[in-house]
Amino acid sequence: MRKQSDEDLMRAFAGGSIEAFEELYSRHRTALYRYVLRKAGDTSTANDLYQGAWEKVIRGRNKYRRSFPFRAWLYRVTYNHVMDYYRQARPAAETHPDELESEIPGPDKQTEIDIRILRLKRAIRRLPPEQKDVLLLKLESGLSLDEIAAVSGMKRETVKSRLRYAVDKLKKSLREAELRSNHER
Amino acid sequence: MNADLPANSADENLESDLENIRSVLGERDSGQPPQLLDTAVLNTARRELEDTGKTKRGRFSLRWLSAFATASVMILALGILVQQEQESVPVSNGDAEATLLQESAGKESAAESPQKRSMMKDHDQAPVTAASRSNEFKLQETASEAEQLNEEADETLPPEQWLQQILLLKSTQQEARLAEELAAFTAVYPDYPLPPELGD
Repeated sequence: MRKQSDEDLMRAFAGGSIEAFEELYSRHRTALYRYVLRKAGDTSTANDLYQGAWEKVIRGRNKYRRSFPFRAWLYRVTYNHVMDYYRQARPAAETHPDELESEIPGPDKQTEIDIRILRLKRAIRRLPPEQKDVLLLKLESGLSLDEIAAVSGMKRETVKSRLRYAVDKLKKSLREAELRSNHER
Repeated sequence: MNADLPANSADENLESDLENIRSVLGERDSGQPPQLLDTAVLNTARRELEDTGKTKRGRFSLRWLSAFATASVMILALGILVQQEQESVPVSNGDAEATLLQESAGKESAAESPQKRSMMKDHDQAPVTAASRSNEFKLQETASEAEQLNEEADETLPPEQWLQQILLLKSTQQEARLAEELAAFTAVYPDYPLPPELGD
């Protein structure tokens, strides 16, 4: 049987099919959650934002236009929801880089991979918001440049250059962290 | 891997870097939403659909009810209008017919009897509500009334004309009718002198 497109499923859901929504949800749950989790930084906030975003999708099902790619629409709704959250309730205090450094346990407790993951996460958090958004949409959700442009309202070329800046910064900060670590040893 | 990035060395490097980052992040991070969260989202969707279904049904029944009420009122109003028209049309037609018949009857009779006058008066003053009978019935009634009036007019012919008719009865030897007519004549015109043929 031919696999139904996201757009068809969303239309069926708007028409009253819960099965269509279940299929749609199972297709996008992991990628969307990873994006929100990485954007929020902590699980509790991420869970709230993730649920809120889906609620907006559910309630806005009749506003969805089939001509717009569903995935781009889903991430646009989520992106705006997250932005609204941070505009209204900006986190009391952003995590200080020094605190992040303290998250990394000593070499005796963690493997090399764990340390690399934590360093990478920290580096992502320290990115400028506009670069971080583009990177997370690409990295965690696998959106194309056009989809990211549709989600964020930026031009495709702007998305591409921000992505490049973000990756360069990550590489640089990881290299510095490794050098520092080697020097300390 | 990503078709939307042009295939030059800089873009290839970017893609490769992104892949490295993705692989590092994915090594320990399952990134799956908790099952409770899945259940909550799916329940919200179910609830929303149920609520919408109820609202749609509710709206439909209300719309149906108001449409039904409007249609009923319109049908009722139309029915009343049609009935009123049916009632008013026969009245005027019946009156016209009666007038024509009366006129013709009046021409035939030179002198109207008091009874006829009274009947005509009654007919003219008949209330409009009486006209609720059917048109056909009314025409029949008017025709029979006119016949009756004609008969009455015949009965009360002028004395000369009446006497001529009586003489005609005598000449045709209709003795029974002759006696009746003569008795009637003398009752109506007791002082009118009878011709010598009827004198005995």
